[in-house]
Amino acid sequence: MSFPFSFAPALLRRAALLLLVVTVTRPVRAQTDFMNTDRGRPLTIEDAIAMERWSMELNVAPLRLERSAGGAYHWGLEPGLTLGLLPRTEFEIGFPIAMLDAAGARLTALAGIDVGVLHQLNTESEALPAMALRLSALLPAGGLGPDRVYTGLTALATRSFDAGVRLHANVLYTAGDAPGAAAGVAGPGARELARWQAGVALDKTWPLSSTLVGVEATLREPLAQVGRREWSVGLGTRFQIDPRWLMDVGVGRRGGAGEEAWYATVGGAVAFGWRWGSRMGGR
Amino acid sequence: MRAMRHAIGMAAAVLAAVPAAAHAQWTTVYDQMYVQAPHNWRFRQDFPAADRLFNAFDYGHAILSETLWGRPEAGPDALEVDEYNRLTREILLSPPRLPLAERAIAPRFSRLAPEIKAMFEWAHILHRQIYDVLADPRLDWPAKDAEIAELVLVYKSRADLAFSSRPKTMALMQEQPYSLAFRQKYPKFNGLIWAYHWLQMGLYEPLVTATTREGQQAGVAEALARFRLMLVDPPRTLPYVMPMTPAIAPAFAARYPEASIIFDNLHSLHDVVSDILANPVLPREGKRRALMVAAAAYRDDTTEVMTVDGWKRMSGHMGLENMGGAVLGNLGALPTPSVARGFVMQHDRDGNMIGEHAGHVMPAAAVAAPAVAAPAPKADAHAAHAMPMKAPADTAFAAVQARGAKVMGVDQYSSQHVFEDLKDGGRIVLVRDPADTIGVATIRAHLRDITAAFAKGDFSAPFATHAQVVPGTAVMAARSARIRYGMRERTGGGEVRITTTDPAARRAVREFLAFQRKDHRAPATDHDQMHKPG
Repeated sequence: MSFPFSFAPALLRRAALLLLVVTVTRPVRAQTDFMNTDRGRPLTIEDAIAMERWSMELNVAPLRLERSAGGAYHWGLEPGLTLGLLPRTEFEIGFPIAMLDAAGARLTALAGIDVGVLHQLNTESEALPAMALRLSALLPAGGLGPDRVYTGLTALATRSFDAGVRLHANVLYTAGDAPGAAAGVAGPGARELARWQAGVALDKTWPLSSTLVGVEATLREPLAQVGRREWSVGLGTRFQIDPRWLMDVGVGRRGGAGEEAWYATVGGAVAFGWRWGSRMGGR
Repeated sequence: MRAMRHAIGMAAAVLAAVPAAAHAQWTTVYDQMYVQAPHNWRFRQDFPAADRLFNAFDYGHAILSETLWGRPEAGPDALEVDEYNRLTREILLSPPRLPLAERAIAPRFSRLAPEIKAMFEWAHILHRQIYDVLADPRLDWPAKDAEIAELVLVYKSRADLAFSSRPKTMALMQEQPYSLAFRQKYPKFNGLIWAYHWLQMGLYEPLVTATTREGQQAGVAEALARFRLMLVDPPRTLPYVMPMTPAIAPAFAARYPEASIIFDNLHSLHDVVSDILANPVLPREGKRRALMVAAAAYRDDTTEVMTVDGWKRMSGHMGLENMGGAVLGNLGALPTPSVARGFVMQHDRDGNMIGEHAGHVMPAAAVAAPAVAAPAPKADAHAAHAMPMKAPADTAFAAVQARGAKVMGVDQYSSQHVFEDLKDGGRIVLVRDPADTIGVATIRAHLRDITAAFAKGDFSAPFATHAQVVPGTAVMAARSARIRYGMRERTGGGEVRITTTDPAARRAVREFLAFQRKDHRAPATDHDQMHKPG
């Protein structure tokens, strides 16, 4: 698919960076349970609940489209895998692929490899919300990948209320020097990582129809642009299709320093166990 | 940068606050995926009507605990009318297509007792996986047996969640201080829950006994029709006592006794949770503790265990006709119950009947020494089940000792209590043979627990031990800010020191200690000779 607009090289690069932010810093994570919200689809903010132990989830058709104020369209695919490895602990690996269409030209490349471990500290109780920590790393790989490894730490919390309403809060911090300050050439994706990002989301579940709708607001500072603020607001829904499959759809608007863009996401995920009975091939 | 610092600062503050708040209720229970196998979701595929009903049952269970805990101000109509009607006129008629996220329906109960919610869900996974195995025509019987044996093994591997596979006496469900509150206040909803459990167990029977695929389909359809019949004139047409697997699904129970026992224990804890939440005598701040004690009793292999033969005998004696009747072969005819609703039978560990009563909430004295042969309005049919009753050997003191062992975790007869009045309050001493290091550690953990609980005005532990509100505790709870509690280790155990300068609180403390001395038959000072009954 192509769109009738043109890019200057600098604009093309910038668009690529924006798309990388979309795909790399919000990589795959989904769970069969539609209530276990993902990071990035449909909302940036997710819950502090790890997926079940011995479960495996495959993001099979995660697609994101963004239209910037200049009319440029950016596409991204985010295939990946999440494993419930240990109690309240999941391991994620994502392979974000960035695609750009510009004046009939298409640029497609792997935008790094994203790995992460999320550990849920506790189960929500009367006194405390559910809390979790995620350690993530963006590894240099692919034509649009970063120049070196970038690591980040995210603190997450989820509190439930009556009528199926929940409040989530996420705070992310990326460690290390800003891109370009490190030795060597900084990768374009890395230059657009967030030094910090904070946000809240509110969602409501309709359990009888296995559907969730959420809204969010976030604020972030790009790693490479000290002092610049970027905001985003989003609306999304997730719904369970059958015990294994779920779908999500989201829309949002993001901006900062006079640049704004619309985005939309759509995705599907399938989950299954990876602990097979011994009679079924070993445990 | 300022915003960033604020954000990081807030996160740090939250994390720093965790240890301080953690003592309140730091829970780390976790969910686990079902065993992956080709038979996954086979029952859903081949028996969609029954499968969808189970989804509706998820809603019924969840809304029950949420209403009892989350809406304490609501009267009985909230469940008996509003939710019952919604369930039977809407949700059961058009059940959800998927298993429900119960935490969205019952967020308050999920926060109160996530451990119990996880126990229920883990057992429900076993339920569904066994249905899948039995529904899978590709498996022959040896393969089904092996597969179910493996599923039970996997289930039991989660010791923190798994119900015991040893049968428990009905004392856990019917003879606790909080027992019977739910069934008496909410007879219709209680009957509906028992009808759920009737169907959940009853559906196994055609899956096990039918020799053909068509036979399974016909049997399941008959069970569903019979379940619908139970809803015609509630509560009259609903089960009168808890359905037991050996009675409802005898072929399944004979073939898979471990799974059957697990499910009976599951269903029993469902009732216990409802009783604890529904009983207004149990203070709200003590309900979580009571829930945890009850859940632990259903997980361990020692508390109130009965023999497998006794479990079968008891199930038969409770009367199939009182549980909703047979699953197969009676379409169109509901059984005539042989007992009145709320009737309670008591059995020993061998399934011998040792008592019965009409099911009123038992006062403390009755709990301590269960009533025998209450004038129950039994129909003739019940006489057919009558068994010679053993004289209850229990005394009030023995009952206190038994409950105390459950609450404190150590044998009461080989441990020594002292309840001593002191000028500025008093102290509770509990010690045992120092060589029993595990027992000593258990005592110290218990004393730490009650020290923290008492300081918050939570006296559910003595309530559970003595089966009544212990004198003095109401004032001690009201004046908790004026009373200090401290735990100190001693050789063989420890002591809880209670101090106050408030005269009313001091009187209450002494009233509390005096009652404890009397009920435990314990000395008043360290220097008295320790009482070691029996």
